[in-house]
Amino acid sequence: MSEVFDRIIGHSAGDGRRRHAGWDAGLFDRLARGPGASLWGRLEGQPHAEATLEAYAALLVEAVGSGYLDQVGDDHEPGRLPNFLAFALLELAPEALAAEPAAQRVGHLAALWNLGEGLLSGPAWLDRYALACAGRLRRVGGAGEFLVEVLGPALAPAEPAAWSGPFAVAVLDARPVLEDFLPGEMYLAAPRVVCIADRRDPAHHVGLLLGHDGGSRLLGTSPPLARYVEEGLPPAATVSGGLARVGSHRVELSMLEEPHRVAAARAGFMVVSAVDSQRLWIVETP
Amino acid sequence: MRQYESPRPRLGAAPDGLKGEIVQASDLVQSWLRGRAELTPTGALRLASQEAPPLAEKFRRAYRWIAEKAIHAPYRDIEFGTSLVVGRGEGRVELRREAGYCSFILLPLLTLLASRRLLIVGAPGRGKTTVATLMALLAGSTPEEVRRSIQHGHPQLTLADLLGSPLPGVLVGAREAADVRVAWRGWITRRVKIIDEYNRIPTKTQSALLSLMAEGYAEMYEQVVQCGRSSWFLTANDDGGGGTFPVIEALKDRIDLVVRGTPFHASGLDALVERVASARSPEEAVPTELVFAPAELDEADRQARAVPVPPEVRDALGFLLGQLDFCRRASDRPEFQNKDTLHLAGRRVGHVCTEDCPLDKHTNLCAQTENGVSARAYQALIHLAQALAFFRGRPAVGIDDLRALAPWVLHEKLRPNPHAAFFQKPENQSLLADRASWVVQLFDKALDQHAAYQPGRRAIAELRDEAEAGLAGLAPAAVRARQERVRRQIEELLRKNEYNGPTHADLILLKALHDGYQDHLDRAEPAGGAR
Repeated sequence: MSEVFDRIIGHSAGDGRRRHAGWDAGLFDRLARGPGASLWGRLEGQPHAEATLEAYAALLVEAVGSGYLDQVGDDHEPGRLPNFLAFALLELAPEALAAEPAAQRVGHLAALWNLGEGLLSGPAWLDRYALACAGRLRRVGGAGEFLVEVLGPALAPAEPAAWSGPFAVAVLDARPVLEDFLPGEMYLAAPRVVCIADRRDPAHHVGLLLGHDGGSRLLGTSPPLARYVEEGLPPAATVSGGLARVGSHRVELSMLEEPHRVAAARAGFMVVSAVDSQRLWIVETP
Repeated sequence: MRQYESPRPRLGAAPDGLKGEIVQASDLVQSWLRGRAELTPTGALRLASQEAPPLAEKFRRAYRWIAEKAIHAPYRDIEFGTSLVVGRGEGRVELRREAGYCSFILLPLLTLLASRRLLIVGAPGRGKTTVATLMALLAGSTPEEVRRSIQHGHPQLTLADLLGSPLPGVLVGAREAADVRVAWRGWITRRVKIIDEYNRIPTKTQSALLSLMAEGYAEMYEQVVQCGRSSWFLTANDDGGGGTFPVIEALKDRIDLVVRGTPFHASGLDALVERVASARSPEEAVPTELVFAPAELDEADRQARAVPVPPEVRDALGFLLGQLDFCRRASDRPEFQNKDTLHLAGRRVGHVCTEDCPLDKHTNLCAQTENGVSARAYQALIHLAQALAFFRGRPAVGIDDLRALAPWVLHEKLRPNPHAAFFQKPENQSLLADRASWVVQLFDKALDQHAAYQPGRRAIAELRDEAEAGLAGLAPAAVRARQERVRRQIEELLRKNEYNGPTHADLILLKALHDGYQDHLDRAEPAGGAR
């Protein structure tokens, strides 16, 4: 690496050590010489390159010192990052910051930081969801608009479904999220987000984002989320055996033998867990 | 087969009563963009400081940082929670369900938090001065300021060395005492005061130190300098009389607690090797986010003092400490049945704690101690227990907080009676050397006794509560009726119980209640009304 890079990273490492109690010198060094070096490789020789690297290193110091990147593994591969901020600093900025106009890069870094830290300050599922969608984000300068676009549907109040069919069923397996996870209590945390506790260890929770046309997806582990209470009445539905009855409609839940818990969202979703399974059955209707 | 209905009651009436709030994604994103990262007018990045954590959390972070980065001390001797016993006999180990703390790190932090006075004892090289220095750095001093302000005890240390003196020019030019201006030493007004090897200070200079610690000021040439709110850290290689000068008792009594430097453990060797390689000492690397402003230290102490001490905790503490001073053989009068009576007569507990005293020397705690505990030590223990509960994030002081601190507050204040039958048992002899474990054993025995005595003490507690409710509007006849109930309770107490420490403490209480009622009657009926 160049002398400039070594000077800036060395100075930043010293700053981190002086300021932060939770300073992890090894982690900073690894990230600075990985994603940081990758960014520098694209910036070097361009206008404002030093100022941009200084800003990036300052944010990396703050993120390491604040513990935001504690869960980053050695390979920090996509999908294994702990939060959106980690994605922004370790994936997006090194790849895409150099494509932005040189004079705007530091401003974009500031915006990325604020968005990432803002997501971390909200309900855990929000950051999880943003991270899950982040693979589609290609431009550093478009991060704000991107988040408005992806969070909008998740946050918007749901239009009540008619519950008159047609019905479709999707089955999700929680095992890839948490090996021993056994779905327990379930409740709405947002119009389209369900928080599910682990029956074996109620301290563990998994988030589930509800989406039509089979678009429901697990959001990963999360702390217990605050309950969201919908206005109005839920559908008149019962579940017994492998069958859900909604009004006069009967929906078959294949492979489900004995139901354990049911949660419903007025947007047209009913989530069912089984006594003896790690799966979740999601009944959806427009 | 189970059947489930759609969970109607859940929607619209959640247990926590939260209502769904409509949040626009664009508003949310805009609010995030106004975060703490911004551009300066020159286009540079500026990151505002993170919101400060609550003060208790900041102290916990400081503890973690010291334990992980500065002082390698795997000895977690301050323990909480239930235990799982592994092994037997001398190899017996208790594994706790809550993480413990290292006294060598925790007690200095509590001293800083509560502005108290700590003595750190231990052999050279155990990190005594290092830990005191870390406290000064946490209080905002620079390493250079700390180096200059440490007072190193030595046999030639004079008053002028310790406190300062008038500049020679000022002294020569002065026409009267008021003209003399003393150049006080800078360390006197520092928040953290470090006296290294205090037992090497000459006796006369110790007296000046006593004034500073006890009264909070120093005086010279009719001028006074105030110490200000401060925490004191004194070190000694050997506090058992092995210093150059004996430490005056009054100075010892002003020290609130004692901690021992922990021995080195081989698991810390890697850290030492790294420290040698980097040529950096831990004192040079206290992170700025852990540094406390004076106002933060004041506020932390204010919050700690506001942590309640529940009545049952106070009662249990009083039950223990009340027994320690009791000596049935010191006098025939209850008021003088304490160890001070013996000492003033030149006698020791061992002289009277013999077959002539009918009490069981193995069960009664009074037999184990040579002295009792002063009100100052009580106060220190309660204040530090509040600080510990605050540090742990507990809503109130618990028995476990007192149990954790009692060994260190009483370490130098409570002297064992080596002739006690308790110490003659082979399994108890090690407790004469290990005073911390000895005090814990006293505490645990007292707790067991407290639980056993509790049913019989309820009536006494009711009488006390009745008296504390006051006498306003009570007719003399009603006061006399109360007094009579107290008298009957005294009779019952003496009839049903062995006359030992707990009974003595209750007797003194009941007698005071009786006297209080008599005092009220005397004032209400000055002419000597009917009794």
